[in-house]
Amino acid sequence: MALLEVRSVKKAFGGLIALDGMSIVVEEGRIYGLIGPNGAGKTTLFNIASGFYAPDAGEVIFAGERVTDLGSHERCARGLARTFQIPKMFPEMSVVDNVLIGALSRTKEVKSARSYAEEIVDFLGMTRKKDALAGSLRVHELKRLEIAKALATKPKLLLLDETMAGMNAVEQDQLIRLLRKVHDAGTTLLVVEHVMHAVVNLCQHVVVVNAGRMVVEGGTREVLANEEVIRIYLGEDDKC
Amino acid sequence: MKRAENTALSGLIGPVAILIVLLVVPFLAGRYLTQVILFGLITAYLCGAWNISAGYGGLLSFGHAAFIGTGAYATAIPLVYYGLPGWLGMLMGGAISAVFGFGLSWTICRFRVKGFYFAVSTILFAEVLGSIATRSRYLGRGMGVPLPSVTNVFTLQFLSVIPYYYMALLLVCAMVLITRHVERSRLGWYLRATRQSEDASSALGIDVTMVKVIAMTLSAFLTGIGGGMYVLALRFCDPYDVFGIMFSTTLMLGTLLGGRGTVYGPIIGIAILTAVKEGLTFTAEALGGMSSFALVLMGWGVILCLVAKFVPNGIGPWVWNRVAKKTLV
Repeated sequence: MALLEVRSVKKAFGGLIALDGMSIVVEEGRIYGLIGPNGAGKTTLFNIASGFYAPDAGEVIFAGERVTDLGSHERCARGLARTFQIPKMFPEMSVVDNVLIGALSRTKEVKSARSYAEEIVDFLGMTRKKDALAGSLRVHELKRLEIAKALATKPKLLLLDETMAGMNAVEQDQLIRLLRKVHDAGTTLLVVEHVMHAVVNLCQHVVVVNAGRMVVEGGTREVLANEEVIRIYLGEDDKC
Repeated sequence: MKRAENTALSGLIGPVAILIVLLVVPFLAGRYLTQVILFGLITAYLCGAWNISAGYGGLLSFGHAAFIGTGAYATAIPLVYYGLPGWLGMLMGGAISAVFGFGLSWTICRFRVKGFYFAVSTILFAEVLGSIATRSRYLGRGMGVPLPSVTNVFTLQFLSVIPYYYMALLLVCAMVLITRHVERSRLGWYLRATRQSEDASSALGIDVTMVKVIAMTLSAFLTGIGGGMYVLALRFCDPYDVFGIMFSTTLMLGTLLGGRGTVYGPIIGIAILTAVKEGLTFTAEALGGMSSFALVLMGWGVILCLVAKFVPNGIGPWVWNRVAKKTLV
C-alpha cells in the first residue's frame, strides 16, 4: 500500500523552479533513498511532504488521505514525522526534554511522556548525554537528537534529511544499524542522503531526482548502475 | 529520591518566609508602606500574567496595558453607574480581556506577524483602546472615572488599604500556583518549545498558533482581573495610566529583571523596582527641584542595563544558581 504519494507537485521560489511536476510513491514498510545533485529539489520535496511549504500545484496523499492543505502538526498527528538537515532543537532544554516534546504529541500526561522519552534516548544510545543542554551538543549528537525527537512522535513514515552528514565512518555505521532497527520496529523510512555508502547499505529502494523531477526509481543496485543516474551525477562528457 | 524531596522542601523555605513577612506587614508598617507594598503586589501579579505568555511562550507583548485598562474600566464603570460589585467587575474585566486577547493573538498569528511586528501590533492595540476611553463620554473621557470613597463589603470597596492588601496578596499567591501548574503541564512544555523553535515544535505535532492563542487568552484573562483589582485599590480609573505604555513597560521590566519564564521572577523583579522607585523618589524630594519620575526612570534604565549585561536570565535564576543551590543541596 502506498503510504505517501506526491502527485505532480510544482513549487517555485520567485523565478527559481524547485519542483517541476515531481511525483513519487512511498510504499509502506520499506526504506527509500532519495538522491540527486544539489538543488535537485530534495529538501523542497521534504518541506512540501511534511507541510512546511504549500505546493503551487499538485497533491500530497498520506495513508490514503489528501493532506495537501494540512499543517505540519496535523501531518505529525497522522504519523508523518521529519528531521531537519540543519538540526532544529530546543537549545535551552536538556536532551530528554527535547524528546519529551515529541512524546507529548502522543501522551497528554507529562510523566508517561517523560518515561517514553527516556526509552527513546536509551534506544538511540544517548543515555549519557540525556541531561545535557541541547544547545551544547556537537553536530553528530544533534543529528541523533533530531531522530530521537521525530521517533518520539511514533511515526508511520519518517523523513530523514541528510542525517549522515558531519559524521565519521564509525558513527555512520552505528546510525545505519540504528535506522535498520527503527525500520524493523515498523517505521517506513524515506532518506535524503549524499553518503553513498549509507544509501547502498540502508536503502532497498532508490528514487533519483534532478531539476525538480523524478528521473529513475527502482532497486538500489540497478538504479545506481543506471547510466542516466551516472550522467546526472558525473556530467555529460566525463572521461574519468 | 530522598534528596530530591529535601530540595523541594528547602526550596519552599524562602517563599514561605516571605509570605509570612508579607502577612504581618499591615500590622507593623504604616499606611504609606502598606500602600506601597499593596501596589507592588498588584504589579507583581500583573507581571506574573505577562510572564505566562511572554516569559514562557516568548510572545513579546508590549501592550498588556490593553488588558489592564479593559479590566479597570469593566470594574469601574459597572460599579460607579450601576452599583455592581467589584469582584463581578474583575471577573467581567477578565472575561472581556480574554476575548480581546483571543481576538488579538488569533489575528496576529493568522497573518503570521512575528517578533518586532508582533510587539508593535500589541502597542497599537493598547493605544486604540486607550484613545477610545479618552474620547468616550460614557467612559469619562480624559478625566477618567473616580470611584466613590465608601466602605461596602459587597462591592469590595474599602476606605482602609488593608483589605485590598490581603486581596492583592491572595492574587499573588494564586498567580504563583497557576504559574507552577502551567510550568509543569503539557501547555508549559509547549510554550517553552514554541519560544525556542517554532519549526521544531510544529514538526513535533505542536499547533503553534493554538499554543500562542491559549497563552495570550489566559494571560489576558489574568491581566484583566488584575486591572480590576488595581482600579479598586487606587479608587480612580485614569485612561492615561491604565492604558499607558508605562504600565506595559513596568510589567516587562519587572519580569526581565527577576527572571522571565520562572515562577518567582516577576515577584523578585517588582520587589526590586518598587524599592528603587521609593528610594529614588525620596532622594529626588530631598534634592528638591528634581523630577522624581525622571530619576526613577533613569534608575530603572540603569538597572535594566546592568541586568542585561551581567545576569541576562534575570536576578532570580542567578541567585538560585549562585547561592541557594550551593547552600541547600
